[in-house]
Amino acid sequence: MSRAACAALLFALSAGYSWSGVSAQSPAASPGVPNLTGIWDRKGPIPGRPPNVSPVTLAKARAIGFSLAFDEVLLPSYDCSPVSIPVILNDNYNFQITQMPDRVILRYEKEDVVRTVWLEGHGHPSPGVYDFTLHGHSRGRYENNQLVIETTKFVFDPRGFDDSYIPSSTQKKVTERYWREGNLLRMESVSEDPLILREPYGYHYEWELTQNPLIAFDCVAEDSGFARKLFDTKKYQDPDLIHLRLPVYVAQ
Amino acid sequence: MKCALCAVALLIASNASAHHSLSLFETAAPVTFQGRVTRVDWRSPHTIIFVEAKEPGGEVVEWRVETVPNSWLINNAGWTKDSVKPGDQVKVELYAYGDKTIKYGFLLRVTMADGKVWASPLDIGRRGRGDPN
Repeated sequence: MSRAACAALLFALSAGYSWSGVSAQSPAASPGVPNLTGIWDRKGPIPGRPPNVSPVTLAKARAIGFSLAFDEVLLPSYDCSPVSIPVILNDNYNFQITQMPDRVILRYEKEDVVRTVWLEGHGHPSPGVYDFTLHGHSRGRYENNQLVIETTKFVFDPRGFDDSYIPSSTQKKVTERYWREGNLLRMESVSEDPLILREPYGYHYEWELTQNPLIAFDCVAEDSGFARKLFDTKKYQDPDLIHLRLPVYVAQ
Repeated sequence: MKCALCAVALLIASNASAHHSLSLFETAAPVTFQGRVTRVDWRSPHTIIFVEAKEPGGEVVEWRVETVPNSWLINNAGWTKDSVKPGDQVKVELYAYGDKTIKYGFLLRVTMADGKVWASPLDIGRRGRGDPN
């Protein structure tokens, strides 16, 4: 094999492609594959369903303890760090789905986040032992005219499920299901985290197809952090409190 | 009664992920003032309107008026980038920051000289589409 051919093969493998697997899953408009491609305008929760509940109601004691101790000033969003999954699903923003033969791209107005969902059957390698990220590693499949996405390998997140400070651990797993009903896109998500939740936590939302383009989020870090300096954090600087909460060698 | 209200609050999913909480602001007593728009920064996580206003003693101050992200204003509340422009005379209703020496607040609504009202959809995330007032 020539050096150039060898380099091309290595590049293809490193990019997650497989020569044999490209036709294993079909793009949109094929039998059993719903056409989800387009820009979706957020409408709200799916009508007629029970309301989405707060993860606070499902959290274990260690998670409640974390939420009570957490100082809002530490929120990564003050530095324009994006939210994770499933938090972004709970936000009232539009998003775009692009279906490709071996992957699905999800592009959000919220914080300009782009996710790649690797479709099963195309030889995409499993994540390595160290491959933890904010948005995790997503694998997808088409099942009963639904796109099913399973995401794992998340980093620890102080806002793991919604606006509350119930965190999520590295054991969080999120399963999303997307399907079409006419011009509506509907989604159900189930989040599991045995270290944090007593039982799975779910969302349901729907979007409508739109021709309007996505609006760039364009986060400005200086503005994002403006409010941070105004929060009163004196209670966290109380020497007695520090002594109670921190190991002696830190308090000293 | 208070316990029942807390239980209801816990059962309903919290608002969409706001960039920061409203705990900085005095939400029990909104502040209203008149002034002139000096600048509008269309951006996220907050579109910001700067408004020059006269204090009761005559001093001219500039308020930093935070709103929701740019896409919420456009997609959910019907704003365009021409809704509020530099030079416009406006009435502003907002939740003000506790320390009144810092002219900073979170917009509820702005009323234009012709009476048109532009609202900032604070809780649109939970409700989905609807009246942002």
